[in-house]
Amino acid sequence: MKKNLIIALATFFVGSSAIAQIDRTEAPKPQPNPEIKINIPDVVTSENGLKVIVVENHKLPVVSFQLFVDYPTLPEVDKAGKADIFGQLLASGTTESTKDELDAKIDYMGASVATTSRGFFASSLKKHTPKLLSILSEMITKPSFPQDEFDRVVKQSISALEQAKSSPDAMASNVAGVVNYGADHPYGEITTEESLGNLTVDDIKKHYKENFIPNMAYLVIVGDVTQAEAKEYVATYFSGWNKGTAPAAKTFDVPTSEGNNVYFVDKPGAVQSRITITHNMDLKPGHEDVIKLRVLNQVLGGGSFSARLMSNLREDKAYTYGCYSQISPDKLVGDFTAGGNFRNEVTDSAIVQIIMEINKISESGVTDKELELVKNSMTGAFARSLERPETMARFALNTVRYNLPKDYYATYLKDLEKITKAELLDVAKKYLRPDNLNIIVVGNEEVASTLEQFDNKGGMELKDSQGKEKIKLKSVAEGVTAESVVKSFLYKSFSVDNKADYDKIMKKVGYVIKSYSAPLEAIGGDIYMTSYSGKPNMTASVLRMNAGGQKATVQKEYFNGNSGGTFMMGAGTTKYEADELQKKKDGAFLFSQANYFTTDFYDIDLMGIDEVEGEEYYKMKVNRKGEEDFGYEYYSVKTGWLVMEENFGTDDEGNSVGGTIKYEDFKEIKKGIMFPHKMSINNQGQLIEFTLNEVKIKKKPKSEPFVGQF
Amino acid sequence: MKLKNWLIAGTILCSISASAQDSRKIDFVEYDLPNGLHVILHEDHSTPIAAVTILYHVGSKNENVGRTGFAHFFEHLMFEGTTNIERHTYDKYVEGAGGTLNANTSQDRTFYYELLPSNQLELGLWLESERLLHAKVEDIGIETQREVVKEEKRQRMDNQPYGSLMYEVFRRAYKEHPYQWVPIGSMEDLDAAQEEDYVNFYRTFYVPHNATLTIAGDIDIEQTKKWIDQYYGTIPNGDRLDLYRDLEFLSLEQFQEKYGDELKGMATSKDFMGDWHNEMPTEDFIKKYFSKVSNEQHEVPRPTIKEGLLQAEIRDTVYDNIQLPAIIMAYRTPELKHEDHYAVEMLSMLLSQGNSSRFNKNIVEKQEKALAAFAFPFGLEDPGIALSLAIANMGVDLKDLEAALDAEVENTQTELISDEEFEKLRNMAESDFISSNSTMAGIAESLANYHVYNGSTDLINTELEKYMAVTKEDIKRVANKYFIKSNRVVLYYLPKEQNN
Repeated sequence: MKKNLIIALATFFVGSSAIAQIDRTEAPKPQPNPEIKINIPDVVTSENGLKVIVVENHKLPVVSFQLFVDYPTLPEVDKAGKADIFGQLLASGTTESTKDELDAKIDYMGASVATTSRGFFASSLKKHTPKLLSILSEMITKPSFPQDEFDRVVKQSISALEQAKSSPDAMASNVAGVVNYGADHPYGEITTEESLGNLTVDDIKKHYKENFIPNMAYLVIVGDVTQAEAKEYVATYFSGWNKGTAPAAKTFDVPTSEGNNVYFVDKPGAVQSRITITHNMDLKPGHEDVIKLRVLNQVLGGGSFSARLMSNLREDKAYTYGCYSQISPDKLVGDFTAGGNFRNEVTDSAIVQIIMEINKISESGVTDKELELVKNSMTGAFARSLERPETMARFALNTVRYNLPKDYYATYLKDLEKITKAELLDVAKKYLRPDNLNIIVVGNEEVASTLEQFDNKGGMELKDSQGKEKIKLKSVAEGVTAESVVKSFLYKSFSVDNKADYDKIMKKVGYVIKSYSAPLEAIGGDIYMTSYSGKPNMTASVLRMNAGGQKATVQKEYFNGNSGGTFMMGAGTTKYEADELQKKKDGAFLFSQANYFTTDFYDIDLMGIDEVEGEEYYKMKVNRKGEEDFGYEYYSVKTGWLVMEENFGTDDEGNSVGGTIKYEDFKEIKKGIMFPHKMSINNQGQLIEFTLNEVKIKKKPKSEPFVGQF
Repeated sequence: MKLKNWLIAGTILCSISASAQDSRKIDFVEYDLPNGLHVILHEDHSTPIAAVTILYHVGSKNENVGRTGFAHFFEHLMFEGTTNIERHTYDKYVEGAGGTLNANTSQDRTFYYELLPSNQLELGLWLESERLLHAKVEDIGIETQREVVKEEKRQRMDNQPYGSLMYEVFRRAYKEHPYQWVPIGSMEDLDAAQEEDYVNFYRTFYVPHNATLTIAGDIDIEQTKKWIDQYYGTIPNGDRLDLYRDLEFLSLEQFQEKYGDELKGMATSKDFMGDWHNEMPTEDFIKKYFSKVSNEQHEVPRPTIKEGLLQAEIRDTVYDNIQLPAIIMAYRTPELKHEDHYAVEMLSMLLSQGNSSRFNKNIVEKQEKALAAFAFPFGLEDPGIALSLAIANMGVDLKDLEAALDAEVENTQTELISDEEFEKLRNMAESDFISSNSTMAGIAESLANYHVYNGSTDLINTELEKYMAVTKEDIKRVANKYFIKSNRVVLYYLPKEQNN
């Protein structure tokens, strides 16, 4: 209530001492500015060419070592992932020690060692430093790359790829790599199961031999260490690392495109769209524009709450938890990227706003107030970063690696202060391409239709999780309909080609019993399923298991045309009622497909031709009217067989349930009647492979099984 | 203010060649203000920065059924502004001063911080005192942040592989205790929040005696204490603080209705109305009309339920948008303060810290059953859980993976660990302890945590002794006491559907 009053009264609130009352209405003024100390260490080159950077910090008795081998980035072609595998294997054994021995030694000291494709980061208490160094030295000069470790690491990497398939960030990053740089550029190469499969241990050994040389390497030592000690460490532990011939660097073209291009990756069940708006940028580290672009990006979408993207899309519109942008300089090619995660409904609105912000800053630059705020916040961030001794080491490394002026970091704050609004507008115009953006969306297929509008050519491209083009469904040939596909399948099952012959056989068949079995590792035994179909709509099945001589009936289902129910081991019997009962009554004999077009219980949609591993399939959506659950049926274009069903539904608690059934091995039973003899059910990751052992076909159904007596 | 005046010393500094000791001591002073605010100060001049932090002892465990997620939601609202700080300017004050700010909320506490150049310490103190004294929550902020928090939940939990893990574990691991929900809460509950919820929550938990102010960095202790007296010592508590906030946030009509009886007719007097309309300072207003109102602290409610060991194993299956099946086991473990806590920590280290750990060496590398396998204790103020988590390699049955995890735990229950392995754990604990707390922000947070959870701030210097007191027999004992099948939840995570 009293915002404008200056309070000068002394008062007694709590306690007994009088405290001069402060003015809460105004932010307090800062004290005099503190001094920022920058002490960038020299780089010392050893005899074998290894460049050493030492930053002393005696606060904690801890010393860390970082090795960075600056070999050129080259394409891995059909062996994408090679350098990563190499990095993982660097700690996997030497000619003197097994991986187990190395691991034991490192852990015994409580030390940490992480290797990468370009070296390692290692840290320990100072008292263990010599022991740690002797291990590190052994790792980099005598790696053995054992075959079994190689096999294991490749296998694990393949599993990890599988895991990445459900991560929206990994998917978006794959697509961004491909569209920004091209699939042949080192940054556009995507590691796949196939590319990892092409790798051999010899590839890894060759990679090590050609690239891992001291004359291209930097060793950064930080912590409780003196210059003299550091010198001794290098002499003792790294002088035996022999010089090599530096591999030649290469340059690469990046693709050019026109207009804005949209790429969509389907992530089933996604509740948010991961939006990435990006383009490549020719910007090398150390270029004079880098610092200006950093300021520009800070205004647009740097990490603060005041940045335009955050303030517009989060604080004003509440579309997202966070929306950011980055401009990254790079020796080969840099990039600009903006985006975040947005709920499905606002996907298109979010894209509109992000593009608007990119446009706006390219056309009119930044305001005085924004520039002032960002300069202050970047100055503070620079000062704060000096708390970590690693920062000083990084400054030294960058200075030598990118050939920066010696005083680049010492004058950083002065250079920052000098930047003007006009300069920012210039670099915005020069580097940002608001009319030539790659717009990548990873999300639910329901948002896809809203995205076409952002593509200048009107046709967005569908991508898979690895950035490869996803083939859209092809249209079916003229005259092919859902009904003709289903008919052809039904006829084929009886080896006939017309309705009259089909009906003729159908008349003779009134009762079919199929017996299946499948091994089930989880129970250490087998399961047996027998299914019964009886005219006109009777169905029954019984599922039994036999594990180590223990036999049990797991599940029963039965329906005699009027009533029926299910029995589950442990849950007892449940009678069919209401909808469930009606569904059973509506059922068809032997093939549910027989009812697709002769009744109006179903919505059947022939979606088109899908291609899976080179084979073409008619994809058909099947939905029982009034139900949310649905399924896809895949009929081979070549043979006409129904080869796969995918089911999607939800249980009573709203959890997704469903699974896939694959049919194979179509063989004749008798008199032209053909059934698949292999049926693989994939139920939420649980795979059961049934073999059809026996089929009995009779004219008249028996009644027992359909009342639950097997 | 201008930061361009920051001096840059380009001169090379003399290196001090003294070696650090094999231990490190963090000096601090701590005291309570008369209003109950706990203060901890740590002085370190190595970098010209200061971390200003306040820990409020309120988290999702203080929420009521039907209002889950409220503590975290409230944290978002606490950046909206105060009587003196306009909406959307909290961050601008800090960033304009060259600082950074943020906050986080756990089951047990809400933690706010500003990292500032040390000459801006007073700014940080002012900002946090504003939040404690009279934070302002308006409808527009509520509606915006409600959606932001929902997006946060979607991004972190719903749309990430295994993102629902903690939610799925905790809701099964607790029957009564509020740990049964996670800090992000539920969307329905966020929607259900009413105006009175905000008022009550602020009054109940955002009070001086429920807060710990911790400052670490390039500060002068005496000057800092003076500022703290000025900005925080003057904040009332109890009924007086409620009254203070009402004076600032209620309309005249609302105020008259609420305090009419107490003022015995004075509320409609010319004098009173005049002072109200002339915006008499709140402090003066209270002195004039409510001279006797009490500063006595209101009691802060906390859950009294303590859930002990589980009685029988709980098993379930979760279907999620993932590619590789995973298994999660959660064992009930004692609270942070319990004497067994450190033995449980060391048992978890044995199972999963480092490449030579049992899970990694045996299950990941030798048997190749898992892509990754971890054990980590999730220690909380009340009895918590220890998680074991393994992601199956392609083609590995979860039953086999479960058996492998069980075999490792069983081994710790029947066999004493070797001297060498025991020594390894002690060395790891020593290294972790010494290497931790290297930044001012980290030190401030640790000091506050030790004070609030353990009641002993000095643990920041002495906690290693607790690890060193653990014996091999203790590790075996806690394995048998807590890591047993009847005391756990087992979850199978399976892919919703097989894509591709």
